Amino acid sequence: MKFLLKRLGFYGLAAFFAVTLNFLLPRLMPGDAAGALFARFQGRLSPEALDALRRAIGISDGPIYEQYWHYLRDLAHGDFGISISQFPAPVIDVVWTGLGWTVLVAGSALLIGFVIGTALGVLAGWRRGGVIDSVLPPSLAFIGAFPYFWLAMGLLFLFGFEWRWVPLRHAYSDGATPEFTFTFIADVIRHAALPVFTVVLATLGGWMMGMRSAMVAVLGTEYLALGRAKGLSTLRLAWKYAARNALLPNVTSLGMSLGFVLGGSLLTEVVFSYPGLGFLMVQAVRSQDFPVMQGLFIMITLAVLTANALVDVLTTLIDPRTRSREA
Amino acid sequence: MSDPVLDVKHLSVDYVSAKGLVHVVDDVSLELRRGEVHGLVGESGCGKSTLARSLLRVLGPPAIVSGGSVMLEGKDLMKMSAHEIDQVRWVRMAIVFQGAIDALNPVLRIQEQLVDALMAHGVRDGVEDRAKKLVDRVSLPRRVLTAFPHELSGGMRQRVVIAMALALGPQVLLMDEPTTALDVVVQAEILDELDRLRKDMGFAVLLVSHDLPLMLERCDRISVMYAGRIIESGPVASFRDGGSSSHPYAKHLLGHPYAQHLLHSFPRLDGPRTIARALEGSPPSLFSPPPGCRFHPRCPMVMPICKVEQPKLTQRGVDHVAACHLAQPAAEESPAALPS
Repeated sequence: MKFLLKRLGFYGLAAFFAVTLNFLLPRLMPGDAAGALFARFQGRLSPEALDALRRAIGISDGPIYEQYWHYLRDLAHGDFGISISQFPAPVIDVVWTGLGWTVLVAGSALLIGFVIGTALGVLAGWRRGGVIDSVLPPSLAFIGAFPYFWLAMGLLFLFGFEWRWVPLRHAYSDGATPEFTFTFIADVIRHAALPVFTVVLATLGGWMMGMRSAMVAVLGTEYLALGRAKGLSTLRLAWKYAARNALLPNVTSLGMSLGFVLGGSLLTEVVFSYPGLGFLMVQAVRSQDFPVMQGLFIMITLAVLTANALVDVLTTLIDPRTRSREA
Repeated sequence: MSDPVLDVKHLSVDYVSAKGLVHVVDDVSLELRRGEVHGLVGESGCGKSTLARSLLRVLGPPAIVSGGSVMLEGKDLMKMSAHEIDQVRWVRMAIVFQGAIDALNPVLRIQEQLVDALMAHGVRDGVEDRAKKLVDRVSLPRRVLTAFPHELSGGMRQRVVIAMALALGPQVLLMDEPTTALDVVVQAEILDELDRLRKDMGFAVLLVSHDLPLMLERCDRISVMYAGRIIESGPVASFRDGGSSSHPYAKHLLGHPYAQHLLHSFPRLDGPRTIARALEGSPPSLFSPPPGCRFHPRCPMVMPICKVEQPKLTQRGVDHVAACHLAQPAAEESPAALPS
């Protein structure tokens, strides 16, 4: 418990630094969001309008500590400012919507890939040189060697365009309204299926190989030989003795991947025009939408920290050695 | 002499490698009598651990048992199906590894690791009470039951492993370097504990170690292994006597020069002061063992015949065999003729 509190304290500190950095970075750059917006209107806005804009977006010329204080206060209220490209939608709404879609697609793809890949790794490692062990690793490595966007576009072309099994783009059909009905949920799943499938396909090999080599290492240990000498059943030996120990490094990699998922689902979302965080980010950069970019950075950072905190808790649960003695 | 509880005959174990088969255990025969402590001694890599582990068939690939039989109470373990051997494991014969290193599963509590052995052999009722009795038996406090292996000291872990091995009252206990990673004080405590338990429960022990002085103190009989073969075997007293002379071959002996060298490579705390001698050279590669006697390239007493003919184990004294041309009854230099 004490250990967990310590870890949480660390994450709190990391979040604070991230938030502060997020405040400083745009202020170290020349120009500001209002200036960028002003420039887009190519002189059709009056200087008074620019002033009004600056106030609306929340840019002030006050001393830096005052700006910082206002920034923190607004943040605590969930106020990230106003989006420029989707004026006047608040940044927080834009980012929340994106986060939901990203968590749906990238999160489920990660979990499905992890669970299936790890299970296959257990089987392959337990029966070294068996059918699974000889066929799957080379084929998955082959698939994983393609650039991801190429693989995704190829599959989108086949499944979406040629055979029309799945929709080509977006998170739900154009006419549909988001609501909690079976039809809408089915529609969302139909749209998410191919993006999820491509990510699972591209990452499966990594999970499987990681788990396989961890299994092989565990198979050489004394406690496994002793377990076998005890006459334990194969099931118990493979699961409680081998897989249970081999799982530990894979769970650590899961935590690291959770972080990359949020930032790294960019390619998936661009290929499938899926309205998640990555897609928003590309749009925000294109339209110089600083408040959205800033909001995205904060959101991604906080999400990564939360994900890592979750994995810390999970690791503590499955590996007694990471618990402190008084736990 | 009672009949052997474990009778190993002509056992061979090979390792499959890219360079071909390696005979790690080569035609080894060994008898373990009811209730005795039998020491198996040799340098690193001589095959002693492989031999001990092959008896319970816990060696994984690339090791294969390529011949011989292991009779435990009249049944051949090498001919059993996977299911049949699971019935014998731990019930009739258990094994103890170096518990101080990683013989215990790091993610399970001690109690669960004691109990799963019982459950695997059909014990369902009162397993928790039995686990408590097991830790009592090896003089551990009951709180170790709820501990994880990393929370215990090396000595405690070794006791846990011994308690585990005795869970089902086996007739034979194989011990593979059981005290190697422990300091001498803990080592003595554990071996005393084991002696006490053996007197109570009457199991026989095959003790594998490279520590010959320890063996001389603890065993009833000793077998010496060199390069995959047993080259000498006999009651511990005949080894002790050989070791006490000031010159290794002076009194001559029943023994094999290698065993004598092993004895003299440890300094003695009692008896006349002698120089501890290291044996020169290193054990032969098992890929291409030397022809004839495998010890001949390092043997100070080497004779021409040693380089061509492999000596057989022959009777040297009461209950004592050795494989050396030097002391062959038919050899021209008979042991009795050596100057004293």
